[in-house]
Amino acid sequence: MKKDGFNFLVLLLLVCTSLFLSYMTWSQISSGPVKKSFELIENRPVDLEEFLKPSQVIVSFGQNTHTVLNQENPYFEETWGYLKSYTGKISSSVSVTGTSQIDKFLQKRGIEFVFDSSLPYSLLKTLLNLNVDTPVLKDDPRIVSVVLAEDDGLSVFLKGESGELFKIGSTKEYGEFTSIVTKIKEAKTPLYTLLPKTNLYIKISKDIYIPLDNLKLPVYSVKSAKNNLQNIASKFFPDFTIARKIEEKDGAIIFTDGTRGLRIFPKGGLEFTRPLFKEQKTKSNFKDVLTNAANFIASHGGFPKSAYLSSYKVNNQSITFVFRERLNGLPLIKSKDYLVVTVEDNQVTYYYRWLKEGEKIEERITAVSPIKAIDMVVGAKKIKEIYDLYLAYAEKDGFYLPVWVIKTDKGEFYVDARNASEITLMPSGDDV
Amino acid sequence: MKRIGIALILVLLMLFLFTTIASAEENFIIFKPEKDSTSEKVLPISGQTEPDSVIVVFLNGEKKDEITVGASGIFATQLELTEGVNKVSFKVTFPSGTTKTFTKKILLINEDQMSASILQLIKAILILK
Repeated sequence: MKKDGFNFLVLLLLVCTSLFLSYMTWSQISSGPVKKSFELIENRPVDLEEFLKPSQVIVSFGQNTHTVLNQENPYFEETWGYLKSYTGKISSSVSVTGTSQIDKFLQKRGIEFVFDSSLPYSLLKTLLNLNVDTPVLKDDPRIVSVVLAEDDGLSVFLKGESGELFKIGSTKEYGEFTSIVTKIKEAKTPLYTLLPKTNLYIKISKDIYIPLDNLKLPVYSVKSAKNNLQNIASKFFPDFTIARKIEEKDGAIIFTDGTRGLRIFPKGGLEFTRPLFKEQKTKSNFKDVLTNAANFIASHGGFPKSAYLSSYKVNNQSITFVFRERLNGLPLIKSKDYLVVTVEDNQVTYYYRWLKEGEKIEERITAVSPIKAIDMVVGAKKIKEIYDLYLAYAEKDGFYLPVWVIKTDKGEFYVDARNASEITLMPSGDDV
Repeated sequence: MKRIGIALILVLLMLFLFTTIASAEENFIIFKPEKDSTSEKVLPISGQTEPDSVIVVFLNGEKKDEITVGASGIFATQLELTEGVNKVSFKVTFPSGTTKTFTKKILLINEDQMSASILQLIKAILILK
């Protein structure tokens, strides 16, 4: 009897342990551990391609059927690699094709690589190993996308900001292209269609692709950043021993040496300013300035691996670069720009960063259709024109929520992809 | 004279309103597909019409989708075609209550069969030659 009692206890213990371990395993799988997807590049120079790769690859299967790949898609790297290998072999003259041609390309097979921000041709040359120099491109036009299209064999076009097409090469041998497009089609990636541009009740300004099926996306909870930025404060000063430390009532900490100033916010933000030292004036091109900005971020807090160049503004001698991070392949939006660098005469004169540490999947939702999001905004805001529409993640109340971002003639709006309600990104944390 | 003038103005006003309403109801545009034939089995459809209209989509007489059009007037859907001629119909009920049906015929071409037919045609021409 005693032995039976002991065996029973052992059995009970084993069952309880098994149940406990199963619970631990399945809770990790369903909601996910806290991930640090915002990994940082800290100890090496940043390669431009790491943050200048296209945000989207639009694949046309012919006859107005398309799919859109983001960087998380397994075929993204293959298509990008194919483009680079193709453009690396081009060395031909350039002709300007015009804007009307793009419509005929939509009927045929093709791939369009769309960048987050338009890039000067001189920078794109480096990115794509292009060896094409011609008077047609001497003004260094800004390029929004690169198009591979079945035209005279397979041709490559650079698409400018005004929609003009620059044909830079063609080939009759494009079996690999056909194979890639066929492979993507057979993978049954979600189909997309173009929003109608008929201008009946609402005008659509540009080509906007929308999914025909509602996409499934995770909702994340945000893990707050630990405030360990004081550890890197010394990197901002040539002689940190002379820098004074001031603690403010709101918990912010300021370091200053009389010319440079560094403010570390209590909730994880950082802002640095310094005047331009005129005696250090140097001439440099856009690529060098951008490289300088990226490497500054890497050496002062780390360059997020998921970061990309969202926009830039040239103002006399200074360029302000705005970077954003991606989450699940989609842009991450906050109430204000959260990774900004201003470079003047190749010196960083302003730097702001406000990053989070990681995130955890809380649930998975089926996003509302983009047409429903447009209808909400049109009905509520009486808009007349849509400039752009895309999916993103927005940080709100401790969560990263999937939202439809709609840019209109009345401003930019964010529609919760869970229920098509409008979201306002209220200032929080360091930007209050 | 005065009465004639008022009557004329009223008639013109009614004509104007009628034209406006009629032209609003006429607004049903299919943006995609543009062509009448395709070799793609899945057919994306998109268009624009009067907001708050209801569109019932039929394929070869069978109801496939029902769309309530929102404030933007935009709609989109997709259909899986069968080989040969497909009759795609859109029964649109406008907010005024008027119902109209718009029909489009789309030919689904089997690419393999098309290639085989062309090959046979070439062989026939060569034989005749």
